[in-house]
Amino acid sequence: MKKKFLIGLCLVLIVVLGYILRRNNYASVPLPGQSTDEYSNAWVGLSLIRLGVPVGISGLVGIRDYPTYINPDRILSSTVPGGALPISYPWFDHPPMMGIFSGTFAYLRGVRNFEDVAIVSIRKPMLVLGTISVALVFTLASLWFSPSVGLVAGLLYATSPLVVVGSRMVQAENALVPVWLTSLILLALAQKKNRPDLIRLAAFFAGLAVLFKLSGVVAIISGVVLIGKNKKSLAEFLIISLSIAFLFVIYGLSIDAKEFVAVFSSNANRVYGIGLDAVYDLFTSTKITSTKYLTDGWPLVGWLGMVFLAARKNRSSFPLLIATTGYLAVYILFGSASYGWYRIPFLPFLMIAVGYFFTEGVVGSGGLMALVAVLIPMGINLSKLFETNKAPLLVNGMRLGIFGLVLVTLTSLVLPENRRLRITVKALIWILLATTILTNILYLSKIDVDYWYKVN
Amino acid sequence: MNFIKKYLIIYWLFVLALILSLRWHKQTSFSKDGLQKILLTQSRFKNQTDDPCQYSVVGEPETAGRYVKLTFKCSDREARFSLDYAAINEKTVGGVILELFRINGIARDLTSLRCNQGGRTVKMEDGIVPQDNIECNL
Repeated sequence: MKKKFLIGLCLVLIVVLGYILRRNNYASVPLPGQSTDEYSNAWVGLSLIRLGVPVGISGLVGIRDYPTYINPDRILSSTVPGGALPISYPWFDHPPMMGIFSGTFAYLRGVRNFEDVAIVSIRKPMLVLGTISVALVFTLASLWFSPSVGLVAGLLYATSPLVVVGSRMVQAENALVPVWLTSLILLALAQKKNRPDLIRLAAFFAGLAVLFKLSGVVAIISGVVLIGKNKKSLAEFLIISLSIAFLFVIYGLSIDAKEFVAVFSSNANRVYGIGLDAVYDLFTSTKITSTKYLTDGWPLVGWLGMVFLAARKNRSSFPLLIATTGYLAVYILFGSASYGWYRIPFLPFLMIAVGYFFTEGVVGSGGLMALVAVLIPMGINLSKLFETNKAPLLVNGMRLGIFGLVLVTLTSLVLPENRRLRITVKALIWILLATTILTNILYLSKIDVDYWYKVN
Repeated sequence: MNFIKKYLIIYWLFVLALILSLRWHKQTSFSKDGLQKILLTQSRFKNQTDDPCQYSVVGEPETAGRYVKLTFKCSDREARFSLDYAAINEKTVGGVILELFRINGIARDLTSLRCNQGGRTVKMEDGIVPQDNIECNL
């Protein structure tokens, strides 16, 4: 009972921290207009409500567009070079749920025309979705592994600079994540509590994920693989999830069948923009928009954790591997452009992998791996924090400290029977992890609009 | 009746309601005027100014040759704009200036402007073609 209360309290604190970090500078970082999709998403919903036809920005070849100057937040004077936006209607480039979500919020706030749509307003519900995702990451990691994995994963998802800044944007992936996580949580609960009725609810959320973005089909794929050989549950899951996803087709055909088919064929012939080095790029770079990179070491540690998990052949890690590789397959299949937000759905699973890595894996050679791994984000964060004001004392401390830590960890490997040494290594790694999370928070507090201009 | 049968009946009833409501909403709500209004109405939160040189429109139109250049000579500085010809609804000198005024929130009477093109004075109702280069003095 006491343990449950403590875990609950920690979760509340993590969620509050996640919200505060997301809220700080949310309207200026990333800069309004760095992705015009943010406005377009709200415009789609707003026009659907007001005109009964979705209107948005389209970049599809062969689809008629009407160049129009729309200048919300004065983006045409700052971040949007080229000026006129390629407006198309009816807009069927993507499923409508993200538009309906942000457009409805804007409409309820009194917005009636496109230029009234302001970033300061439409990013607000994204902060809530991002915060909910923190709690969902905790819940899913707790169900798949243990509450301690959940706490570390949740804490990292709440504080990783890349996750925090990316989650502010009005991008469909930021809604797809909580919907997919909910579906996975329901599937995990169905298996744990032997309640097949929860599979039906999971199927609903898996189908809903597709209504936010077509890449949400990963929620159906991962659900099917996780359910496995139970034919009745599998049939129910497929019928419900596919029927919900099919509502996108019904929606498109009802509004304008000819245009919907044209957009669908144009989408199918999109340029393969992520390049043949997409997987390498995914592991080595951390993008926010199409051009802005925010260096963050946690995703790389997540990939290392994923390799560590796969090598352990632990059955409890299968769902995590299925979800991650499932999205990797979808990411490569769709591969239309190298935008940072296409990578957002990887992040919850990468953070869960890090959580497992540090909570369950810090034994034997895992300790040495964890030590090296934690130095990746810590080094990056410290180099950003002391970018202009080099601290010689810190540099010497790092050099000698790392040398000493590696020696201690190696000694514990040579003397595995020495319990005290093992505990010391584990404690040191935990202290390093806590320090690195603190540097996450300090780095995030530094990322304001002035700093953002320098990020490349 | 098992769950899936019940589900499919409710689902198809929902689909029918969705189709009817989407079609009805489009028929009763969509008009070209409504579309123009939602696209082109200026934000009520936008600060208005009477200085056409205060705000820029960054960059150039992406389609080669499909532009109209506009220069304002204000008292202490000059502002140059390159607008997409296709985005201008009223293809006149006054039309392109009013479009720029709408984009940047400029509240100014066109009669206060004296414009010329290639040294020749032009009136606000004169037509424009792609690649025109208009200069205006306040």
